[in-house]
Amino acid sequence: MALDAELLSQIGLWAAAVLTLVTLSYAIGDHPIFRTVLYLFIGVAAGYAAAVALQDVVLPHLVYPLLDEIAGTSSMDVMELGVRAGLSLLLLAKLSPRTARLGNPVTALLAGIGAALAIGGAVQGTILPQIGAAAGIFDVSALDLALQGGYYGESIQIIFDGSIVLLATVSTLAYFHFGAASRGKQEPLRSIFIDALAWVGSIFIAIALAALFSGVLLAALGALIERVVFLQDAALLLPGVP
Amino acid sequence: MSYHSAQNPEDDLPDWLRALRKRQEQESTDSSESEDASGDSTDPAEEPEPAQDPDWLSEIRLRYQRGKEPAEAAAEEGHLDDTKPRRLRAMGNALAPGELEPPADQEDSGPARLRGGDKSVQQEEAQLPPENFFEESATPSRTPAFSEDEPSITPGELPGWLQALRPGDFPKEDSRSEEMLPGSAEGGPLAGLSDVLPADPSITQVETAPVFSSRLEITENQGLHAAAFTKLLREVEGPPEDEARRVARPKRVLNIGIAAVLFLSVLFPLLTRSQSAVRPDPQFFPETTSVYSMIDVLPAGAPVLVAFEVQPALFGEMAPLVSVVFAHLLERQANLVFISTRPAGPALAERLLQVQFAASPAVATGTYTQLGYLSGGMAALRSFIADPRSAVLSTASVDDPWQSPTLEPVRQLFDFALILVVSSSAEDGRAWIEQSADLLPGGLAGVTSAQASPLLRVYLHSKPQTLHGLVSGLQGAALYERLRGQETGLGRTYWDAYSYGLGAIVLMILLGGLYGRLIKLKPEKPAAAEVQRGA
Repeated sequence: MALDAELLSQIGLWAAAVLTLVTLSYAIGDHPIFRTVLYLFIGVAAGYAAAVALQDVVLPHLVYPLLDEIAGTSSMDVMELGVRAGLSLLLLAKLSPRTARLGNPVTALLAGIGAALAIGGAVQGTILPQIGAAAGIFDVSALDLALQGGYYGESIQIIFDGSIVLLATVSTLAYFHFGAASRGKQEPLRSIFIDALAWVGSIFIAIALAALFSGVLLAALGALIERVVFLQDAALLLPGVP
Repeated sequence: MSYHSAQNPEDDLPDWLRALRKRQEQESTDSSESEDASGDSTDPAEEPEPAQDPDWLSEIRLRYQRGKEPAEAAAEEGHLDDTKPRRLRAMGNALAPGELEPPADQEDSGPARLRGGDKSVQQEEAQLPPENFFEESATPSRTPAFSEDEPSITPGELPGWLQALRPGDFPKEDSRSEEMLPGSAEGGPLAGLSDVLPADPSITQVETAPVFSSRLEITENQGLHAAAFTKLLREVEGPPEDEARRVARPKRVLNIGIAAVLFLSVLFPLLTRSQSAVRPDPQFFPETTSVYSMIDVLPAGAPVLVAFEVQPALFGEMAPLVSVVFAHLLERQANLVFISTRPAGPALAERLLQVQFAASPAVATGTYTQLGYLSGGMAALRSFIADPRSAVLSTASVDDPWQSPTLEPVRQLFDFALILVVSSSAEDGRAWIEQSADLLPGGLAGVTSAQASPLLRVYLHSKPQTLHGLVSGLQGAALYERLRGQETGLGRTYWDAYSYGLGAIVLMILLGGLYGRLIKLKPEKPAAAEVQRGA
């Protein structure tokens, strides 16, 4: 007997409300029910991902074409299908320690391609544009234009922005400079100049980390508000509540 | 008093022992007198009547007696003599051959029987109690295995089962002295036979366990490493149990207090439906205004690619933000095309559309396109950006989405009128930006969580610009609604709770910092008081 869609919706609503309350109860301390719900979330997420991978990737792109090929109704190129099946089998060989070496070429292929794409993307998409942005602040043409136009306030702002960016970039790089001159039998020591720059750099690093932390905090606050509103709406559905 | 003195050792015995000795001597005298009176010339050591033995045992004794030659017996005795303890050998040498087997009456006298022997042996023996003292008092006299004077007994026949039980090689009697003989069995079929059963079970042979050195032999370098590791473990070791308990309780109270303040500060504006907090000013957030402008100029029916990289955990935060942007897109009649590199992405996008925009004509008629889950991580993403039509899509096996009228004009990625990356994490947004930097001169627009905003914001200022607009967090949602002139919406509903909650967080951080500063200024308690409190 198929369950009514409305009933299923109600069950889902109350299950979500109970799970939300249990999760929020972590504020009073860790307890077994919270851990159970935690494991439930992890299990559901992993199970869903596996199901999607199986249904949307493995079956339609490997298993069904193979079955079609066996049945003689395949429209896929045999060579392509062979490559897919062969690489999949080699990757499956990783499951057993005895045959794990057979899967090394496939793993190396995946890791190598991933690393190459990550490095290439970082260079082209992050490092070079960031260097360009840092260098662009010291473009004196904008300052010239501002001075010629009599925009002295803007001129000061351009100089101030450039100085801040320069100081932040150099001092942050100095913070991660760990080179030190040898002093015979005494332990090596950084120069005072680098030390002073590193101290300034630590301030900028602290500001950057504070910004990241505040972002996480704001995201969590947004999620909390959404859950509180959800609980409020669920409570309004309780019998006897106006 | 020492036994080494010249006095009779009998004088040193306690009264009870002397009385016992006297009684035994009296009994012995009585029995010898009665034997003399009966006229028998039996040896004092002669043992009970042979008639008490069973027939089979008598037969064995007889066989043994017949088969043993005198010379063999003498040789055996000499051989066994080597096995005697040194003390006994010394005694044997000291005594005359005729005295080797002392009479029974002398045995009872203990050390006194050794008066004519070696002095050292005498002194050694004098320190010991009489050898047969315990045997006489605790056990009856021992029955020898056989006697030379026994009359021959008619051999009997052993039952078959007993013959099978008896050992094949019957032990030979030896002529060792009684002191050397192990204990003989006192009952059963082996009664009287010695050396058949071990007198001392092996369990009684207690030896001191060998002592092995427990010290490790290590090099100096290994010692240094061990010391460093010990120090490391000591440093990471948690506080003592009492200290942990003392700290844990206030910490739990503090946690509950913070949670209560935060919960109430969020709940109060929601219950009162307050809308008093001022929404953000658009002039301070040009990146949000850029996104609004990009969407606002889209022509009707323009294909818009939405990369929906949202994690379920942050869907609640993203929902108000994505809702207001999608509402704008649907209002502009854009053709939405969804794709995700996360397994849960397509399902969450579908849920948002069905819950928030079920009444929208585009959603109701299903004119949007789901490309589904793009498996393969960064490699698949790069492949899709380089050539979208050749990418392996999860929905391709069901129905080729590129054949739909919406995607017919799209050949490359830059054919989309707008590419919107909806991301809850900075990594997903950065992957799209980095992989498309050289292929998308027009760049992307971002709709991100508040936690991804600080890391993605730098791409707004990069040269060349790879991110052309950014809307992030609840603040972005409230701002976007304000740009659209909306007075109702999730952003507006949540904005007061967000502002109050943020105010409470700032207040608690300030108070916590102030408390920490005051604690530092407070003079430390004396060490003695600290120890007393810990105890």
